[in-house]
Amino acid sequence: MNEKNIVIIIIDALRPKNLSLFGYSYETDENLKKIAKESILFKNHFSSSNSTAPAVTSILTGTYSNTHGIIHQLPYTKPKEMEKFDRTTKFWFPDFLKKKGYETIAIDWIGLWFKKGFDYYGEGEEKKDYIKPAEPFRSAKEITNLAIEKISQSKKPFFLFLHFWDTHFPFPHVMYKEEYEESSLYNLLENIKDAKQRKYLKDRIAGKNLYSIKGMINKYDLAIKSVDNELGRIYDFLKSSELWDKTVFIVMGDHGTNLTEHGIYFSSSGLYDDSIHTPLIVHFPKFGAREIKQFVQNVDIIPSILDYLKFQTENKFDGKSFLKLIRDGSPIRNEVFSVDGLCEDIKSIRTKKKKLIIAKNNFCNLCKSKHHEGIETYDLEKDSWESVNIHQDRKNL
Amino acid sequence: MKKAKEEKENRVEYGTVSLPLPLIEKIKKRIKGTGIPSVSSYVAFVLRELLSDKSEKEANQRVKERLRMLGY
Repeated sequence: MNEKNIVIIIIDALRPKNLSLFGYSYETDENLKKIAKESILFKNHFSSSNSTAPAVTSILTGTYSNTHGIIHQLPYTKPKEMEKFDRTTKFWFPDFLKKKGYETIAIDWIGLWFKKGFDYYGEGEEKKDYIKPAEPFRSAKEITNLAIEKISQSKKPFFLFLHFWDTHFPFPHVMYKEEYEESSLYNLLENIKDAKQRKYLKDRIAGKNLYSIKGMINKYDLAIKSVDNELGRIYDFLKSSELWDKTVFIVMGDHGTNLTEHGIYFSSSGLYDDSIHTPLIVHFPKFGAREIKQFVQNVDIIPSILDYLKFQTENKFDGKSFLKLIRDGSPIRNEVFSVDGLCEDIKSIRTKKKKLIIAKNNFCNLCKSKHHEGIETYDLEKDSWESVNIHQDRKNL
Repeated sequence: MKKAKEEKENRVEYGTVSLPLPLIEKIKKRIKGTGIPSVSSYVAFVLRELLSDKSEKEANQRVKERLRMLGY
């Protein structure tokens, strides 16, 4: 059996707009570009969810939220969702690989059902203040050190799942000092018309040395750069250890983020493209490099890895292998589906030209405001910003 | 043959537990309209939570604290 190692790296809340690979004017992604030169770059990868818990569950099961049961982000996940996941989920990628003889390693902190099937799950030794953590997560540098240590010690084919959180607001590990100007903060908050959003952002930035939109965007870009540095270290390690050509290597965002677009401030609420469009870069040894513009989703990743490694399973996935797409350009889907994990009940379906968003309950658990209204339809060819709802104009449906 | 064996290894086995009928009725009322499909599912879910050990409960508490620090 020609087993390859598998590495899946999640960069939290990473959106393509802030990567020079996708046209951003500032190079936040020097190493990602280096990796992309030896990989398949998917330009139209859309997550099945705008939030981590449902999205990562979809990645590791190859199914949508409606199948596996986890619809809402922690801590808003309802007991009935976890109950459904426990009861109905038959395929869990780490379990599957463990039975195949893989050593399974996850560097992440969420725990709960995500720990299943991993020989190691964590961020390293608990720091002293373990009842009330001093920081929400370890830095990209620390977890990269741990990842390299773990895979260096592995004596079997390994599956490494590595989750970088540095790109998640409020970017606590980024060293960036902004000059405090009362007027900047006042202008930032006063420009937010929705009182609940205003309160939410004011509370969220309190004590975090963030006073302006520009400052927050700069911090986000610096966070991407710091994660990119660590990607470079992992890539260099795999190359120097002669593991690169024996490893399926995937880097992706679990979901995107809005920086201020659509009146959504530094969160992935809502189902506009900014919340669900994320980069996906896949290195399959001996597959070479190319750019793919056709649609793929996070649910397609596990079926594709299984197809590449020729691992058999009777399990039925919602996702599809994109190997044929890579080989001969045959599309595997004409539309992408997403569910809002932060708002109560919002779903979307998107084709190349149109997007339909159905908001049955648009209350946002995160900011306590509302996103989307009823049924929204956007003509993406004329309005890629999703600013004009054409749903009322029936001729265009 | 190998696949059937793997499927069999993956299947979770179930036993039977007796509950007083009034308690069953109480649970049925509680789960009505929640999407939880059966009394058995609800009981299994609640007991898993109850039986999770102290270190797991502390770990879950830390996760909640971290999520709060991220704004959730």
